[in-house]
Amino acid sequence: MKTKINIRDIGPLLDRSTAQLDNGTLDKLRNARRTALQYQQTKQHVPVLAWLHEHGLIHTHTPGRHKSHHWGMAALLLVILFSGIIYWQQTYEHDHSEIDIAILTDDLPVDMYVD
Amino acid sequence: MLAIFRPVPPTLLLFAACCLPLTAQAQPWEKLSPPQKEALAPLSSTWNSLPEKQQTNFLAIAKHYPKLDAQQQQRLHSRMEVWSKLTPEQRQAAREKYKAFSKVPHEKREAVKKMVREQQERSAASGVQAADSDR
Repeated sequence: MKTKINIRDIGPLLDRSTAQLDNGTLDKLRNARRTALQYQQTKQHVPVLAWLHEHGLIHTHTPGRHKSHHWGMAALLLVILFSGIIYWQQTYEHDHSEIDIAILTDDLPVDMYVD
Repeated sequence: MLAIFRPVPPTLLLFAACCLPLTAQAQPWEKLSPPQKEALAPLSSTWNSLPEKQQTNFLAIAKHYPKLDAQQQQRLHSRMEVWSKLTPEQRQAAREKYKAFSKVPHEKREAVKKMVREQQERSAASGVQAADSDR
């Protein structure tokens, strides 16, 4: 025999079954909900750190370490960014090799371009 | 203050090290590879006295050398020494001029090239005549 359940009835049914749970189980559920919400908040605030954490590049163990950890990470990311800028400048901005080759192999002599 | 950096794992430090600049470094002539020596042959006697930055620039040029055809390689070799003797400002000015000239319409560019070639031929011919009359 099939019993049809209306979607609107699901909420009250869940409430009723929750009321039957013992206090220990309710506490566990509350704690799990709180932990999940905290994790979601951290993820929203520092998406880069969350990504690094998910991929095992950083490990967060104790909440007391969070602040110093974030500062360290921020400093490291700055160093990486700075290195990237220097690399880009040296590799591309100051690389005249293509234009130099073009001048040195052109039909016209170099004197044409030199004052 | 240093304690801040303690939790940073080695994987990230390795990643940061990989991001550090990795460009062709200037080095003495003896340490250049055979293909580099071949590309930079006209500079063999002056290479070690060139400023480090210029050496780096020439090493970047040397990377393109194998891709050039025989005529371009010959032109590059014949002009390399003159190019190395220019000041950085002169080289930069030449690059700017070249860029500006590249923007000129093709027909006009060809006309200028023709004019320059004719001028070179005339001066070469007058040089030969002057040498003949000296004898």
